[in-house]
Amino acid sequence: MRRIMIGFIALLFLNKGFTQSPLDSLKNLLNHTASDSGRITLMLGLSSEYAALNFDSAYYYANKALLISQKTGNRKGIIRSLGAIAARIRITNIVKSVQLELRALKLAEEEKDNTIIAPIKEYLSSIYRIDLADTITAEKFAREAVLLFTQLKDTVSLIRSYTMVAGALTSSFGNLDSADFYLNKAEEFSKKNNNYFLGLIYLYKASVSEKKQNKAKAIQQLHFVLQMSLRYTWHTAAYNRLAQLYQEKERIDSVIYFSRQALLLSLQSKEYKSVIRSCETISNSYKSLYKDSALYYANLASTFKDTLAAINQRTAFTTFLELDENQRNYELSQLKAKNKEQTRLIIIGSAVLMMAIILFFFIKNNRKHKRMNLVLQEQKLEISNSLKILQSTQAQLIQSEKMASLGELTAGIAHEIQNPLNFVINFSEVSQELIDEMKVELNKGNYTDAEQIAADVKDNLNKIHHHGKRADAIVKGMLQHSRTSSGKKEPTDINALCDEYLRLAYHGLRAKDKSFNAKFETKLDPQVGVLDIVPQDIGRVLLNLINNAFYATDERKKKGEANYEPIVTIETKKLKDMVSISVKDNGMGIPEVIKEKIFQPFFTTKPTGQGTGLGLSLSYDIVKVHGGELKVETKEGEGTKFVVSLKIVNE
Amino acid sequence: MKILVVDDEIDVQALFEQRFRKEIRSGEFQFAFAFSGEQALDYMQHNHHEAVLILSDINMPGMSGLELLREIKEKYETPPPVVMMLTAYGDQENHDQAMRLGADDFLTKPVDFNLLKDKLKTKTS
Repeated sequence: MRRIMIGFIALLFLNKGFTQSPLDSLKNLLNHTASDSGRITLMLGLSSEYAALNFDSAYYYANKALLISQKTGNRKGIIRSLGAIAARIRITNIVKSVQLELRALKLAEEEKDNTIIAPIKEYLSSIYRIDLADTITAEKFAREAVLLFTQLKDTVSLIRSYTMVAGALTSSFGNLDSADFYLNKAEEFSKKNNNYFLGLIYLYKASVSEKKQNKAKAIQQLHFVLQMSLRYTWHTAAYNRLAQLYQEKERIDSVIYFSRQALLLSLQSKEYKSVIRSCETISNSYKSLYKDSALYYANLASTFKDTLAAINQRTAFTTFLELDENQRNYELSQLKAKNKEQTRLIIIGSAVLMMAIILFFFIKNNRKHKRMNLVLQEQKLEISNSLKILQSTQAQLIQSEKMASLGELTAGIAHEIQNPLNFVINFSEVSQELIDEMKVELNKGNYTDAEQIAADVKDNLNKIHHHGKRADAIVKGMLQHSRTSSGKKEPTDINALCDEYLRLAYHGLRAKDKSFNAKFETKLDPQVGVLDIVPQDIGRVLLNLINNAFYATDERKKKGEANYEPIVTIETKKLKDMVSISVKDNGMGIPEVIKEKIFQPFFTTKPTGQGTGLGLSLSYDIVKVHGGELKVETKEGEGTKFVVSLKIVNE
Repeated sequence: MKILVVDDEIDVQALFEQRFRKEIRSGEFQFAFAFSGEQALDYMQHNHHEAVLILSDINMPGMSGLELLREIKEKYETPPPVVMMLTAYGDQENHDQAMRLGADDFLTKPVDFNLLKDKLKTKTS
């Protein structure tokens, strides 16, 4: 009874699962389960849950389930474990995967147990279609699976095998309407049951729509997959397809966004082909925007191509070993057959043979174990490498965002330097004239006039000094902005920083877009004073917030509302132990749906090429690093206010 | 003859007053100053018979010099005051737009005051 209960609970998790953390629940159950068959079921469940998250763990549990099954002579356990291992190594070693699966099928057919045969056929259908590109065999296996599942009245699996038939029909450019028919049937069944496979069904539906040249519908269906499905592998597939479809529509921001999502998922699940494809797509998309990033992703792609080549080499090697093993297996079974025909000696002989077989399995297991340990170690190394690569990608992206915002700044800087220089030139010229005049007055003996002129000259020299300093500050600010952040905090006048970046942002935008204009005002609290911050980093945050604010007002202005006066206000306030800097606009405000996403990297509402979608997420990180907070208050139709709060640290 | 100078940089006033000190002393030119487009319009409303020539910057927060130019040319038809634009952005687009809106001249910073003096004299004579 207990066994059945455990099996039932495990099945519940496998099929419905995902209520909370299936991994933890399964592990918990595993710790409290003593019976071998229960443990096998749970381990296979864990292996399947880990499949898309962590290759090593997935492989580990499948292999452990196989060992226990072999140890306890659980034939069904062996078959299911073989299937699980075949599924895990499908990406890294397809040849071995097919061999294992076919062996599992043979064993299952010997057992004459349809509950085991059906899922294996279903799985083989998928392998033949996707990896071996043999859609005819794939369709055959899928249809056989449909038949078996119908007999078994296993609705959930039936749904899946319907999608398999549809998948085979779609890939072979076969009958798309027939594929549609199977998918609709699957959807109907799925809705009657638990909807769990809706994601997969829609993934196929999207592919049919694409084949039918209905791209809009395909995109809609893929978004539905992301919404509905809880399976990461389906997400990866959906992200990849969306990236391709948006590429055809030339929506580069979306292409980059979806490719990056696919990249992150496929890095986790070690789907190197998908990693390479995503990297290449991102690289191509960045080509016109940021050459550095494009190059970076191209390099990343070629790194993973090398990894993949190395894996393929290893596959060839292990396949050779496996064939060798098969040969020996075959010879052993021949021996066994002969033994059966013989008489008394058989008993002794078979005892010896049994010993040999036990020894053989023992050695084999031992060797396999060692090899698996090696593989596990290698894989761990690869994952940590992937992580390192990912981290350096992020650093690279942050730097390219910096350079992009520097580009935005240069026009503003040019204008800001031009003005003080004009004054330096003009006031020094006019002072020379004044000195000449003073000489004339002195010669005439008009000392009062001469003194007056001298006072004017002194005033002018003061002005020259002031404007010289102004230009100097701007150049220093620019250098600080481009410098890779050394992360050095220094006492900084917050009000001056706000004023400086407000002007830079304004003139930068003006220089880029002649039609742009907006009022801006500052409400700076003189109590704010000096804070210990990294000025170029907080400056970048301010620049970003101010740019966004101006952008928001400009968008609203373009709508041609009567009596609309765009205005951006920057306000500083000293609170008890905090300083707040708020950047407020009277633009359109941010819709509630989007509000949650604005701090996510790569999220942007700006048209293609105008925003990297990194500004706010970067700002958020910078403020966090300063131990502060970045918050948004917004009302649709009224405007948005971003508030940066920084702690005052007493020395 | 009165000239209204519009620029958001406050030191422009001191600069003009010194550069044109002889002309101011002799009464040849009189200067008034506004530090934004809005201020300039306000001044025009109250003293619009006085200013014969307007010298305006383009790049100002709030109302830009080009918007000011349009307002002036629309509101004050008879006789339209002379408006000269003075800007750090000497690019073609700015120039063409100013000319389309009816600017009488287009000068770039840094200002060549000798040239400006000649132009002011010919425009106002």
